[in-house]
Amino acid sequence: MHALRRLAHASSMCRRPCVMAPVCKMPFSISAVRLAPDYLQQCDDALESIHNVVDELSDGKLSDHVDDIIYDSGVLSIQLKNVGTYVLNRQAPNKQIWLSSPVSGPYHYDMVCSSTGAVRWLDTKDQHNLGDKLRKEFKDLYGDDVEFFVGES
Amino acid sequence: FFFAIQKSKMFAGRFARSVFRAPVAQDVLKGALRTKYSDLLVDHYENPRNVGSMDVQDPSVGTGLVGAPACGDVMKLQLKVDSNGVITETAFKTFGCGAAIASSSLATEHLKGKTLEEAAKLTNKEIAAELLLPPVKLHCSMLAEEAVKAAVKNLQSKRLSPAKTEVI
Repeated sequence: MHALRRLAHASSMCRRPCVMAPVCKMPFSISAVRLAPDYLQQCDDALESIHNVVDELSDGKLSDHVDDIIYDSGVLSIQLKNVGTYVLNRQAPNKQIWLSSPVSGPYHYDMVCSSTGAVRWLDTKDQHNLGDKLRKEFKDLYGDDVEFFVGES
Repeated sequence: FFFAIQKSKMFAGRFARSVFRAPVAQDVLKGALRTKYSDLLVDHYENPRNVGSMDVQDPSVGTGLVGAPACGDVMKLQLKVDSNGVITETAFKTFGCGAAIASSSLATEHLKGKTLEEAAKLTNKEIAAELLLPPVKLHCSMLAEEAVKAAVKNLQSKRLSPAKTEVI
């Protein structure tokens, strides 16, 4: 009786759709047995790190320039005086982060994983790094060279 | 009794529109909204230009299909050229937000009278600037630019195809 029940349970498990961890854009070696980095976690980490950096800047060097920072439900919005608003949001269906820059416009960043499991966010058109982009624009705007620590470069 | 009927109609149809377009009400609404769509954007959303479909097989029609339903926006943009290579007709169908519809509608308007080379130069910046798109909607204008480029590319590849009968 027990064996039969276990068999039924096993077969019902097989009929359920297999939920695989979200797969990264780049293939990683089979020897890395752990699960592919989870998009939602990585995305939240990235937005969180950018949020923290800008928060620090708004308390310090850029206190006169940052009007407002809002981070809620995967959307980070940074209002800069006389510049405009940066909006970064997660785009789950594509596993991307989307950036809207008041200086240079809209960009989409794919989650790219290396074989070590390090995650980078690279532009879909020219593969530039999200962290580099923000760093360059803030430098052009305010002269300060700030690391945005978005993944590992 | 008559007043009760009027009240129930209040939020439907033309009466509601006239109430909400009354100057005082509109100022209140304007103040209440953090970001308001520009009048031009609203116009293109409510009265989109060139909505429709052209024959994809037609050798003088280029079709661009961009976006994905999962992302929230899909745009199909088509253009038709005459024998001189000038765009005479355009058509679009967009599934998405008001800004996406307005961006593609505006794009179809801009394309008329242009050659394919000129059409390919249409940028998301122009569309966003004209519609005064809020930051989060810049992606819609980008998608419209991509739709235009895809349609131009499609038509150019059709013309280069050896199966074409007309000589460029």
